[in-house]
Amino acid sequence: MSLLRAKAPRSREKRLDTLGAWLGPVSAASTEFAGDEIAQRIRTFAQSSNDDLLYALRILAGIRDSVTIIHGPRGCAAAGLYHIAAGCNTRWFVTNLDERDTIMGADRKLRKSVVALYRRYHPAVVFIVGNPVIAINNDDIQSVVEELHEELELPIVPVYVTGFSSQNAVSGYDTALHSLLKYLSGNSATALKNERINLLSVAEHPQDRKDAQNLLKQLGIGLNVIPDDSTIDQFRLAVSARASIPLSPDAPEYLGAILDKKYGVPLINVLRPVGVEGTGRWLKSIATFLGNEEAAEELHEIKSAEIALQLGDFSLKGIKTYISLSSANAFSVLDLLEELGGEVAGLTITHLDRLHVGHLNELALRNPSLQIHVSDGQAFEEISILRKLAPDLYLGDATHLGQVARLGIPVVSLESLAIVGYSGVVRLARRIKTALANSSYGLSLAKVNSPYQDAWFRRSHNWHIKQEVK
Amino acid sequence: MSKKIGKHIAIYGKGGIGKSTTTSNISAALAESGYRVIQIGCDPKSDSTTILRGGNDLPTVLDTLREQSKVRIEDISAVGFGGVLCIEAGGPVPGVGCAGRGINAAVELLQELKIFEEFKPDFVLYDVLGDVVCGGFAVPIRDGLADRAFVVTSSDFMAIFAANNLFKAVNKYALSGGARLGGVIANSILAAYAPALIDDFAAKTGTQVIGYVPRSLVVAQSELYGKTVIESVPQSEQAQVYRKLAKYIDENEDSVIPKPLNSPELKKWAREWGDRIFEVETGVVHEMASI
Ligand SMILES: Nc1ncnc2c1ncn2[C@@H]1O[C@H](COP(=O)(O)OP(=O)(O)O)[C@@H](O)[C@H]1O
Ligand code: SF4
Ligand SMILES: [Mg+2]
Repeated sequence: MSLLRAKAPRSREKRLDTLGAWLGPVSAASTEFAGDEIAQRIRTFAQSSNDDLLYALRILAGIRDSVTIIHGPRGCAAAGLYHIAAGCNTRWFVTNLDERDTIMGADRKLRKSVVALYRRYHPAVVFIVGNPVIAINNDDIQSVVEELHEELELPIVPVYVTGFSSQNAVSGYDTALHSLLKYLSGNSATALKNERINLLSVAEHPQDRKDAQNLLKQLGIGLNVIPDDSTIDQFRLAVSARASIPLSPDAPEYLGAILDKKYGVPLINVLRPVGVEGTGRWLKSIATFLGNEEAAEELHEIKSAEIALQLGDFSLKGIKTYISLSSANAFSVLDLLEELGGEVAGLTITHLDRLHVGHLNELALRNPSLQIHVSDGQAFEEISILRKLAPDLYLGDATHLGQVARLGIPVVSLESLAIVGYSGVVRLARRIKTALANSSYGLSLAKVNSPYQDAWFRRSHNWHIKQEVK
Repeated sequence: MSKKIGKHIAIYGKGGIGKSTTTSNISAALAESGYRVIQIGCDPKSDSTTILRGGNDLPTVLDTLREQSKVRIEDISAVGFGGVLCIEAGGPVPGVGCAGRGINAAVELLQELKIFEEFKPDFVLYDVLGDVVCGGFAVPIRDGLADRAFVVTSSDFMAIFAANNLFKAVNKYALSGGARLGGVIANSILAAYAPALIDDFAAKTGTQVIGYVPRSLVVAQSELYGKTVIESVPQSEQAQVYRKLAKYIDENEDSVIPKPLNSPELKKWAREWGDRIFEVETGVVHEMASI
């Protein structure tokens, strides 16, 4: 009952000991997470940082029949641009608070906005998203929610993002998911279960989602995909599903955990379906749950053979790759590269927490000295690390590929490349092949002067990462 | 900012301690002796100047603060007893918004309106809500708005506590152009030990008491008529007390950076006074306790 009572969930730091700054060998990470107490790390300097508001909006943007109101000053609309950047076309607005609103309270303005947007678009749900201004001011969102919910007979869901309650932007996913569950899922732990399986997809590439869906369909599994590209009815149905399987163990973790603990929908605990083995493991985990293991086995066999054929003699043997991705993604890409015969030179991941312990322990056995760098947006640290490690290839999202390319390292962007499932393996292999073949572009870029001073490169890579002193 | 027009004085103190009553009577007394005075209530209660203007309605600065509409000085001020220009900053209704930011915005608007240049006051008195709980309520003593701050206190521990908090804020801002402390105004003096207690607190914190205002029925009665004591019973002793305060503020420019007590010190000091009062009430005689 009490799981969803609070306005917002506890931060990831508190729930999962999430670290946003860390540097060291995987063996040390594994040892540290084996203990009960994880010392928080802080950065004494950060070049850039993500905000939980962005992450929360990313979730809400997935609900197609919604309207999102960012209740804040107009600058907060910048966060809404993320909707567009992420290729989502849900409607979003900002209440454009002015000075007077921040002093006298802005509930009237909010009420007006909700009513006006309801009349104009007749959405199935209205989201009201907070931000630092509203949080500091304690603006009264709740009474607007309660009044208008009755008056308009419309679900209105407040999402209490503060921007400062957590140091890890990924907490924003949880904040949005908490509100969705709290306001849309009801109390019925006893909801009649049906045969569907929830496919939990948060901030995934549409093609990745589609490939995963197709694979499960081939096993005859009926799916309810949430929250990416879904509707509120789909979201409501989640509590009556037979089980949930995540596309990633990380981003949708909160959703899966609450559906399990509060609504009795078992969560299948499995890593990302990336790589031939990874995809097979993923398919078999759900098939086993449904007592349909042979079908999965059979499908895996056929698909792996197909992939082997398509890959031909492609191999990453002798190629050392540096990976810089969101955490669960990075770990699964690491497995995939090793599967392709390659070696991993090091990892930069967005955060590290108890959800990654399995990976850490396994890696600590296989490759204890592999360096893990935890950073969300600290290109300056990464560039220095890359100069030292001098990998043959870099896989990352789009944020600082340009800078990496200037080091003369071939780069592959995973920002818009679907890598899930069997076909994902081939797509990634092709992309890597092209990047390695066209090294001259990187080499000529490398002639451009570095934006960093040599003094910075002489510093230790954890120069700005300190243990937090309470 | 151009050269400051008039002497700017901020009066702080715990809620209900008598800031508005005291400030209004000081304003009235200053006006009576021919000075041009502005009194600005910095309290969402918006009742600072009530007894200067016979209880008439006065829209607050924040009520009129809207981006589009052009605000004029006349819209947000009223002329009260003796020509005192009365202004109420206003604020949100209880339970919403941020009163501290309201004071900030109201003060900014007053500067935009060039109210001091227009009115050319000799004195501007800011009557500021209660404890200094956050940056907003410290606005009048930050950024060089007021030159001097006074604190109104009784002998109640909570009032002393609030005074000590103000000292902390003055102490923090004084070196960077904030106001300095003019002194302590002891109000509602009834108990025999009260003046000595307040004197002692002032001495401990490096300041002084500039006047003792007795608790008096005249004050309550005048309030019911919507008037200051100066206006309603100008011949009374109480009116004389307020005139003396006004005279001090006018003639004396002394100010200090106070030395607030930290919380163990304050607790210890309070406990000692607790013991002393107990001894006085129960008749234990010490040499010192000749209060
Ligand atoms: N010296 C005094 N004697 C009698 N009553 C007083 C005295 N000072 C203040 N009061 C009364 O105390 C109440 C609160 O005073 P007020 O000036 O409004 O406090 P504040 O502005 O600090 O909140 C008022 O009813 C006022 O008449
Ligand atoms: S404590 Fe200060 S800053 Fe906070 S809401 Fe109140 S007035 Fe505003
Ligand atoms: Mg008052």
